[in-house]
Amino acid sequence: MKKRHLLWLVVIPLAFGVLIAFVFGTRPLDSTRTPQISFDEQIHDFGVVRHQDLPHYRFTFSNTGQTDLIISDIDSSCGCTAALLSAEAIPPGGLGEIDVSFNPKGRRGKQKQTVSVHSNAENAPIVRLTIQALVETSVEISPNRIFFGGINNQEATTKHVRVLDSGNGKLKISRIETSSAFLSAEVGPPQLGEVVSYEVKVVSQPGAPIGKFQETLTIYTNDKRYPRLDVSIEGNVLGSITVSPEHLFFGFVNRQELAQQEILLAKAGEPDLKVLEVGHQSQFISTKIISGESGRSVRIQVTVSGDSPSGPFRDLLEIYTNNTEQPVVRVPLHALVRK
Amino acid sequence: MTKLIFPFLILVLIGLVLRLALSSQSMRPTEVESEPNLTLLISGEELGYLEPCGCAEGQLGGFSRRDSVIQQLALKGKTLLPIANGDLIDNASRQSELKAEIGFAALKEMGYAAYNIGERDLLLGIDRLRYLQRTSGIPFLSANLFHGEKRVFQPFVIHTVNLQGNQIQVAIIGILSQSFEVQVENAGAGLRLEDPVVVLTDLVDSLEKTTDLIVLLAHSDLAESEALVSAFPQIDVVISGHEGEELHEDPVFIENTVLLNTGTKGKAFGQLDIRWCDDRAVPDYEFQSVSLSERLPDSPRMIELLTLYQQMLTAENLSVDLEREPPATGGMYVGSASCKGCHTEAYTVWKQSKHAHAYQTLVSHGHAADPECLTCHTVGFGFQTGFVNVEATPNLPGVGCENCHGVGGNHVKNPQKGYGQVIQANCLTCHTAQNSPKFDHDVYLPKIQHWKGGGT
Repeated sequence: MKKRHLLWLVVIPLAFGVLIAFVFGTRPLDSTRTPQISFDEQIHDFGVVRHQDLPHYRFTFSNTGQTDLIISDIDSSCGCTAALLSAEAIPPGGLGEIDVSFNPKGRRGKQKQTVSVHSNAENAPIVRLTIQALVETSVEISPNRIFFGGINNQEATTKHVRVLDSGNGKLKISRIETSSAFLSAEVGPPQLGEVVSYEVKVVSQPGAPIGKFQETLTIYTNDKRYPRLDVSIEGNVLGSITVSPEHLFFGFVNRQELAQQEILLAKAGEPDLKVLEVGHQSQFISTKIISGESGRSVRIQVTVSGDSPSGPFRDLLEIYTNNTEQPVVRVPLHALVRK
Repeated sequence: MTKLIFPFLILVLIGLVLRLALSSQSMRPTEVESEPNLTLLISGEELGYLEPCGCAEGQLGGFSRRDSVIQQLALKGKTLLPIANGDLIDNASRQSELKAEIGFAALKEMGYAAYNIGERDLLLGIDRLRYLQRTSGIPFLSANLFHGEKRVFQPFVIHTVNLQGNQIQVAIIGILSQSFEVQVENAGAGLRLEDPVVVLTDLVDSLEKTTDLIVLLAHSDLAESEALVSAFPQIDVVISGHEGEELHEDPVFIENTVLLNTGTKGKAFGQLDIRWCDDRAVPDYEFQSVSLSERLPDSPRMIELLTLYQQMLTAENLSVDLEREPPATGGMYVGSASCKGCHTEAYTVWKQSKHAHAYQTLVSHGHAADPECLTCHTVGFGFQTGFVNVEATPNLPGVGCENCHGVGGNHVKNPQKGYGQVIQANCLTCHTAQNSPKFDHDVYLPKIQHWKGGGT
């Protein structure tokens, strides 16, 4: 009996010991044994900045843990934001700095960028620092590109851009020109409102050569910082025959299956459109010409066979017409035959 | 002795129960996470960034990583509804058209349920957008874009999702800010924008009666989106655009509506888990921003599409057939070899630097025909007398002296004239956060030091 009690005295504490070790064995007893990162602040607002400014701000942090804090990486969300670290390793109780600078050049309006700080800190392995600014410019152009889209080569087409004086209200446009003889530009009188603005009218003249164009509108001003402003002009001059779509894209084509799309040729003016032939290189393409009754349109059915080898697939369709101005219309074709 | 085993076993049993209780506490979020009711995946404003170009470490984003995450989430059994808030492309170039073809094919593969038209998408032209809608099968939305009196695209789409036997009707509406009026007018004759508030008034009222969740894809800035939330509290989720590069970590709650943004350049996407509780009219929301870092695997089907994209660029010869501007400073590009005679030491240092082999990096990543990459990996690309291709301009591949110091022709002709001085801003034109996220001027500069003393 005595021997049995003695055994109890040994077994019960032992079992409790095992129990405690089992339940709490994998849990850290003291989290401060690991590095901990603590920032004084994580957001900084630069306020109003101008293009020529290069503001920067030092975010300070400390290691409140008991082992070395290692900063492994700093990512900026934007090329306009640069971050400089004072030291990669911060001892327990030590202080560090991240100097974040912001380059507002080419930006305008409200800006919000972040810098991500990656470290071995147990409490926050990634900390995001935010900088904000309001970038003021003295001259703004809206939109900053002129896109004509598809335009008829027999007609004049007009587009507009607005030049806004966001500075002192004394902006003047001294001269305006385009890089093409087929594009004319004129500037209207100043319009008074919250800010002074000018409307610039760009006109594509009839007779422009058929095809895509990329030109420049140049605006000369009396603003010392922006004496010359270039605006890109893009578009596509169409002849009497228009093609839709101008490029065929089939995306993924399943093996052993057929993929089919249609091209529509439409004719303005005399209703005498005929498609004489459709040329292509690949044996895995077939085409069918379906002429409209009115002579104003022709549909071309294009079929890509999934029997073609797997992988990227391309061709160039050459559509021969009876039109002297556009005897050949070329339509590129791309597809990806699944493996 | 046998009797002693029982108390011991009871204690062990208690231990096991305690252990299980504690571990189940830490497991709970993971278990719930794998069984959300509906997960909205939110993206937009890629602005032509289909993939990280791979020329430097640490680049974020890309369709390939996004697709991998989507496939992983699908494998976890989540009910996914990916939606996009527009501006897949940035400009009207032929390269952008090719990007749009590849981009929409990629969104189709990823199962996108709706795409809201942004003002930059309009640069593709309405015909092209309709073609892309047709071939991708993705509903393109724009409730307030009109041609005359007719809508150009459908105003909304309703998706029915089956959640554990319950049919949930999700309405997704798309609108474009009226601040893009000029861009819309320029996109085609007769195109116009209606006031989003006017358009949404009837639309939201009718959808509220017939659907369980209303999501608004608002291609507008945060202030305008907030105003829409206030005007239409019946809308459950509003996705805003034009609100900086970063996806906001925390959603904004205005009464019962969640307001989120998309960020730009596809560096991350938003994951909004929505749970309906039986006893509450308003669902629970849990949001996280999923950063697409290089630690994520690539998706083979996206890699196939992106490889096709590079082949399309090669096939269309885009890097050769482009308008070339005269260099702003005048003169002509001459190549780094022309500097060797007088600047021998500097040339030797440069020759051994990564700059000298920058073109080879493009070749090894299959991007040697990509005009956007060539701008930073060759000398004078896009300018008259600058890089065309290795055959036509064999002295201009790689980053050479003239990338930093400017066109060298005038200096070669007349050395007394001197050459361009370099400031830190020169480096930042190529070492952007997107292309060179680890760039640190003070660390990188010594790697190319070919001058005496410190600084540039």
